[in-house]
Amino acid sequence: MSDALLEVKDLKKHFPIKGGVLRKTVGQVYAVDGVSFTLMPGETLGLVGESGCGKSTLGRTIIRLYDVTAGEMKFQGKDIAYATGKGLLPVRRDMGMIFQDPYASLNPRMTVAQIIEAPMEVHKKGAPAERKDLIAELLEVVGLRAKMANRYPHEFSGGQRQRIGIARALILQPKLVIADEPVSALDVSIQAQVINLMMRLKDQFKLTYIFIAHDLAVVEHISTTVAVMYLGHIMEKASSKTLYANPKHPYTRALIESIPIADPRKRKPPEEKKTLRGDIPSPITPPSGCVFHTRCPIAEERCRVEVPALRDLGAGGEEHWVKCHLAEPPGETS
Amino acid sequence: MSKTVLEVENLTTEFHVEAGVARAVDGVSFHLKEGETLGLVGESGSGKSVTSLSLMRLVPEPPGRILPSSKIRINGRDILKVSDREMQKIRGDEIAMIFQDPMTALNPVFTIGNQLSEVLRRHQGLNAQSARKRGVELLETVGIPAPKKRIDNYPHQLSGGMRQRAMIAMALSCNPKILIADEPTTALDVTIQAQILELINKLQKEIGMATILITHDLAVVAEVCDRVAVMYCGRIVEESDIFDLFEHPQHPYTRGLISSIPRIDDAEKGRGELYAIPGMVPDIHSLPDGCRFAERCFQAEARCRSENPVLRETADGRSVSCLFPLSKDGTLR
Repeated sequence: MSDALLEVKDLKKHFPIKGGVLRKTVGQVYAVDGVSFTLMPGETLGLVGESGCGKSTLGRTIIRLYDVTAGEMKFQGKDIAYATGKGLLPVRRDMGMIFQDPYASLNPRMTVAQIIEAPMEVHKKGAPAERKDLIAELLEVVGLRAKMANRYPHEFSGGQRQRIGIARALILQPKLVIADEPVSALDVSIQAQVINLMMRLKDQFKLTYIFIAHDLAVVEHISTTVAVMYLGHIMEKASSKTLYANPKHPYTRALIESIPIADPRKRKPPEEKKTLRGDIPSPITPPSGCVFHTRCPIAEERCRVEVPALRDLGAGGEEHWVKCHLAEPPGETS
Repeated sequence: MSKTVLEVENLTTEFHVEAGVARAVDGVSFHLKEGETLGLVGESGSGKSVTSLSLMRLVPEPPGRILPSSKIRINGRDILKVSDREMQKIRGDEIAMIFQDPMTALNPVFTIGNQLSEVLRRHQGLNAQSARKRGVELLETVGIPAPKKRIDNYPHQLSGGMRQRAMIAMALSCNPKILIADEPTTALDVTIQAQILELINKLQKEIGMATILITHDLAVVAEVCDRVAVMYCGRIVEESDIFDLFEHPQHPYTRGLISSIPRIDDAEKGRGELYAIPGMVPDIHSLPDGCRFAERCFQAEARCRSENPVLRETADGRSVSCLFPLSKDGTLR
């Protein structure tokens, strides 16, 4: 598919662990370990998983805040995996990023106008007067007031700061916006405001999102496609609707089962709950075979040895990728 | 009718800071029955955590101060009147607490065993040997694998879920009547959260202790609580049985909170706009007159901005503090 916005093939990002007096590399953190997917324009890809699954690393590697260890990455048809220096500028111009912590991601010594203007300065876009108008306009679009431009971040609440971060991500009119846990630091009532804003902006600016979050309910709400990650791998990827209605990977099932439901009438007696046992293994020493086999309720001998392939088990022309030996295509009983 | 183990009456906790006096908890009253789980829900700044610290008498004084008109009775005894030394006994024996972040709540330079046996030796007068034995038993109860090995671990050697289990073991070591769990699963992943909630539920049934679960997450409350008190700006705005609350919230704030949660169990609800409560929580140093929710409320009238609503009982043992509580179909009464 050549009209894909982003193609990622077997992407790996390992972090070396240095130890000893000579700071030699003594091990690797296999944060992202062979991830492939295609992102079409207009899609919202939700990346979910528990802490340490590599979802944030994947997001940061795509926007090239990290160097790629191995694999390929094409953005708008151009190879960006190993671009350097000036070659990176188009990547960063057409991708925006929204960060999790609205307190840490804004420079406290800069005014809102300076923060939002910074990307334009870097990319030498627009004359000063033009920039000022654009900033004022964008502030209104994200639900702040234009006259707030000369204030400092500390004068704003968490939700308002996240709006500033969103304005900064949008100022260069990017094609792709990577949002790393954009609402998890916010209160419930504010969270809903920001989610609504992001969905509105997507339509208004024809954006494509990669939405990284641990909250499966939030991801379900905003995403068209969802990829579930575990220990650096995509375990399952399908349309949001299919993934939640018909999860095929035992990990996805367990995750969905673990989500508390905001309706006491749907409470399940404890014996009916299938909670996962144990903890997530360390990404420094990931398990052999299928990385999930140590916690999997249906693991067999071969799961311990053989690495499962990510297979498309979709029906009716719809893609449904599953990385499990035991997941079965539709039609056969499971 | 089961016994009331905890009665809180007109609890008011203030902090004297540079910007003035911040009244974090403002006249909160509620009670807790034996074996019951009460959810205390609210957003940041609602006063839920200060309420829990007040119950333990752990509010730092100064700058904090619990006003003398407040009453906290555990089994009839007002713990705000007892001496500090006596309070040390009450903490642990009668009321225990687990915190949000087990990494900062545990001491990093002592082993889990050390910290567990300190409690056991102090409160139950066990010697070192039997305290260790009991410690291993407790770790086993909370589902820590290989407890004999783990008891000699330092907190950093355990995962987040394990640390929270260790903290629960510590809180349960003296069989308290009341457990306060302050955001016990907020720092944990969803699969681990499910494990911990299940554990708290199971232990509660076994030991029969009453629990106050403090959280911002209404879904967690829906999973485990019997009763809920919703806090906003230092006050309880609604208190109700869990089923009634979700079926028919009477306070506009409660209804707003419930509707703003994205739901995976409700396919019909669709992907449209989520309901969002407009505006934000007012600053604690300049709280508005009258109802504190008025400026964000969809149905506020002039009266709401001048008249202070009181928490009053409505039908079926529910209470709401709103001049115009919502009726069952969500419209004005």
